[in-house]
Order: sequence, then structure tokens, then C-alpha cells
Amino acid sequence: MAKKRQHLDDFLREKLNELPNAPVGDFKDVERRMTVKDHRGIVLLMLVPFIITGLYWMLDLSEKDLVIPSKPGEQIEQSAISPAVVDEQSVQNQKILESTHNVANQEPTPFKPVPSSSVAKKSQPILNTEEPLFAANGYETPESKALETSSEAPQMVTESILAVAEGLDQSNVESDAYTPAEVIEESIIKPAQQNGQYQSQNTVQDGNLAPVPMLANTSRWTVLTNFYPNYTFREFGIAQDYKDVVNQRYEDIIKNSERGGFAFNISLDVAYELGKGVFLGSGLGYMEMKVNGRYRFNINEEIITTKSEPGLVGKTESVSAYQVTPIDQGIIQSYRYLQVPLHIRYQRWATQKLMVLAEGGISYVRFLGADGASIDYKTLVPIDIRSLDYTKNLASVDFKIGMAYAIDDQISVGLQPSLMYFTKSIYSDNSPINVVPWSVGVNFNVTMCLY
Amino acid sequence: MQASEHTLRLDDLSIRTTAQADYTTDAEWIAACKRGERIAQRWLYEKYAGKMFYICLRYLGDTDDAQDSMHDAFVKVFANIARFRGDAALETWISRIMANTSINCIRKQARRGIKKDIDDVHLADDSDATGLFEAPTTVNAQDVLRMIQQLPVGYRTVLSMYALDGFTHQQIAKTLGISEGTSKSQLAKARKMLKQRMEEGNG
Repeated sequence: MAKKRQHLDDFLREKLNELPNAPVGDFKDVERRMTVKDHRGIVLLMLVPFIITGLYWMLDLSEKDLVIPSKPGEQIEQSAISPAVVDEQSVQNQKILESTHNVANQEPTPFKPVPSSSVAKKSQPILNTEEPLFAANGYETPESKALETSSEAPQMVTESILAVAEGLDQSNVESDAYTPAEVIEESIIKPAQQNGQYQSQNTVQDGNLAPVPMLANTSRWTVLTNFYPNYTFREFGIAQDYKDVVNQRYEDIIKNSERGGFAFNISLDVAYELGKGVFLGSGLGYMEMKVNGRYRFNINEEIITTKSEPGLVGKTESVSAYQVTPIDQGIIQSYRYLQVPLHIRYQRWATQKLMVLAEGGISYVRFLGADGASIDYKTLVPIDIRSLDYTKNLASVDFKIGMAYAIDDQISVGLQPSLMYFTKSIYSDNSPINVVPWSVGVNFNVTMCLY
Repeated sequence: MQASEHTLRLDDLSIRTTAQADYTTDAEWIAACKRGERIAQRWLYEKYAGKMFYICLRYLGDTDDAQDSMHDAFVKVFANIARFRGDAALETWISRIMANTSINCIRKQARRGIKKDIDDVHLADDSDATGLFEAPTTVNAQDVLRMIQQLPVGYRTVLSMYALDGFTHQQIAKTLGISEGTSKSQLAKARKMLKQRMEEGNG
């Protein structure tokens, strides 16, 4: 048999085209990967507050590192101080500081309490002036700790600051180590005497920022009201045993039409501070989840027409034909639940007014009722969802992270990306349909300290 | 007398028939796929997975890796099919996604590094680069596939991209981070090795 001269590439293409189709793999694996991919965005969303907070702290700390000496008596390098941080107050104090030199290098002198100065007043807009104020930007330093416990041994930095404050009245302290930029950082320090001791208003423990007066109750108990709207999605599936019974189009129709909707939760919580910014809380909540959507599909009906001819010998003939009935209707479903949460919250002050929150917990969820319309899983005809069989007792897990801004000492508003997931289907075990709701969103909440 | 009754056929068979009867043409299925309907995505998968598997296998050489890469590629197909305008054949479009995903997969396998594999090979003999040869009669499709799989990763990647998936040397060079000259050399070497193996198999 004569061999055919041919280009290799053509030969390869020809031969590979002759390959029979390979056995098809498992489409469920593709479905699983699609689901995982969908969740990546949510994970990223949840990370956003951490990233923002991290960046903020990095910037904030780096500024402090430049200004506050890490060791008592250590001089601040002039070149390390950024002129960008000069503010109005520093300008005001500049004249005073111009006459001061080498404060940091002077021998410690006995501390002399100074009345509230203009330096302190202007830089403490949210602090309770009745409270003793101290820590520089809320961060503990060896110097601040010394002052917390003893007014007899003020360390160098604190002393310098106080000397500056004294200088407001006395103008007898010289320093060339301080610049206006330094004063900005330190000027928020306001020495005040209470019970013979100097204490930090922002008492710091383990590097954790202590709460400012906002929500800083003398009691460890707090009562909070929360209201937060969010968007609820639904994880929809057909129970394995019912796969062959359910209309094959049902799943697609439901997934396209009943994707989710806006929901809101309202709750009253009581929390107890376990310590170090960790709270254990519980309460009572009401949750209403809604599904907004629109059905757009056709029902293909088989019409059987029977013709009977009268007579002694009856003759019956059946003729069948398909009739297409378009369904085009909007739907609103509403599901109501009572919620008893048990959660742990961790909060940390990022600034004087900004607080970072992380909260997680579980909830007992009691089904209260449902209203609205859906479609029958066999016939696809519209039905009232009140006729469906629901799981009465459920549980949910939730996780929230975000930030809260203190408007005043009673109210804070927060943006908290949150994730809430039901642990099982809202329909009973006998139902062919599994629907597991989960909500995600950047929630807005208002937290009020009631006492 | 005439009586008429409407009967909904609820038995499983009629339901399946009804569901499938909704989309009769490829265009309808693709449109449903663009709407994200799972049933249409399954249809697309079942229609093309058999062919696409071989594309991934050509590049990756291993069935498990090929299956893995193919499924990743299908996720991309479903995520992007709404952008498919029909300028090219759907199969061609999907094939290109399969090839790109497989190439990315190879690049991720840095330790088995394709680039190193390519850079380490310096070819002096490009004399047989024309590609013309006596086509063997006893080599079948499975043999060809196996021989491609057995090529070194650099050879089979360049060969698959250029000869079978229509990439240019410029595109290959850019994609793999090599020079066009290296791409051409790799192709020539791959062809030469394949011819030798086919002759041995034919002999």
C-alpha cells in the first residue's frame, strides 16, 4: 500500500478529529466550582473592613512612631517629624513653644498639676471633661502608666508635655526639641487630678484601646437595639429522593425567579462585658425575609378532547393537543421568624470615635408564618405558599464585622458587612424542596445605649 | 355532543418531554445558557465535554489534570457566555477557553516548569522543520493522542498551540514568555520527535 506524503500538522488534525467523544465527566463538579466561585466575592466583601482598619492603624501608628519617643528622655529627631501634621492648634501654640527649649533633656521635676489648658480643651472635642484625661492618642506609654499610678514620678515625655502646658502660664520653660508637629500629638493630653491620682481617660489594657465615654458604662451590662436591613439570597435545591418527581423546569424557574429579596431584622439585645472588649449577648429579634421576583414561563398543557357521537352504538374519540399558557406575574413572598440569638462580640476602638466590631453567634429561629405565591413543583401552576409545610424550629449562624461611628455618647451608627446562614431548609423534611436562606450585605445599624 | 377536558400530564416522562421540547435548537439552548439556566448549562457541558477533554489532555498529558482543567474552563465558559456574540462558532470559542485554561494550568505548575523545559533545550538542527512526511497507515487516533501526551511538556504545548489550536508564534511567545525563535525551535523539535515515533510505530 502506497504511503501518502502529507504535512504532519494536517495528519495530526485529521487523526485527532477521528477520536470518539470521551466519556462525559460529572457536571456536579462544575456546579460545585461555580458555587465556590460565587462565594469568593462575599469573602472579599467580608475582608474589606479588616483591610480598611489595618491600613488605618498602620498609618495611625506610623504617625505616632514618628512623634512619641519610645523611651523616657529620648529626644525626638527633628527630621522625623512630618510637617503635614501641623494643624490649627499647633499654630496657636507655636508662639508659646518658640520660647521653650530642651524640655526633654531637663532633669525630672516634681509634677505640678495644671488646670485645664487651652491646649487640652481644643483637642478633646468628644471627651467628657469631668473624666480624667490622659493617654496620648489613646496609646499607653510607660510614661502614661507611671502617671496612672503616681503623680510623684512623672516621666520625661509627660513631664515635657506638662511643662509645655505650664508654659502657657509661666513661659519659663525652654525647649528646642519640640516642634508644632509634636504638640499636635501631645496636646490632646490633658492632665487632671482626681483623688490624688492621674488616670488615663482612655485606660489601656494589653494594647487595647479603652472605650471613650460613648457606651462606656459603669455597668458591664448594655442594652442595645438594632435595626438592620439586608438582602437575603436563597440556596435552592431538590431533595435527592424527589429528583424524578419534580418538574425538570421547576428548578430553573425558581432559581431565576425567586432569587431573594430585601429583608430586615429588628432586635433588642442585652450584652455583658466579659472583659477586654469581649461581650456575650442575647436577646429577642424579629426577622422578616422577602422574596421579590417575577415568573415568566409557559405551561405546556396537553388538552384531551373527547368526542362522543350519540346513537345505539356510542362512538368516542379522543384527540390530544398541546396548549401553551404563558405565566407572567410578579411575586412577593414574606417569611417571618422570631430569633433568639447568642453571640459574642469583640470591639476595639480604632480612634476616639470609630470602633471596629466583630461579632459571631448562633440563633434559635422560630417560624411564625409566610405569605405570598409560588408555583407547584409538579404542575408549575401558581400556589399560595401558606399551604406549604415549613420547618418550625431552625437555627442560624451569623457573622458580622464592621465599624461603628459614635455620634454622641448614646448613639452609634455602623456599617457591618454581615453573613447569616440558616443551618437547614425552611421547608420540612417531607418537602421535595430545600431552601436554605442566607443573607449578606453591608448592613446599616443604629446602636443605642439605653443606660 | 362534545366534551372537553384539560388534563395536566404530570407523569415524569411527559414532564421531561415538555421541558426538553422548550428548547429545540442550539440557539435556544445557548440563549437559555446565557440566562444562567442550569439545565442549559448541563446541555452545553454534555454536548462539548467529550471533545474538550482531549484538548485539555493534549496540553496537560494527565487525565486527572485534564478533567480538572476542563471543569475550570467550563466555569469560565458559563461565566462569560453572555459575552459570546456568535461571531465565531461556539465550539471554537469554547476550545480557545479550554486551551487558555490548560496553558494557565501548566504555567501554575511552575516546578514542572514549561519555561525551564523550553529554555533548557537548544536546537541546532531545524532541517526537518517543513513538516512533510510519509503519513503512516497503521497509526490511529489514539496512538497520535498518546504520542502527543508523551512529548516533553514544552514540545507538546507549542505543538498543540501552533499546529492544533491556531496560535501564531508571536502569540505563543507572548503567552509562554519565550522568544519566537524558541517557539519555532520547539515546534520543529516536537515535529521531528513525533515523526520518529510514528515511523517506529509504523515500522
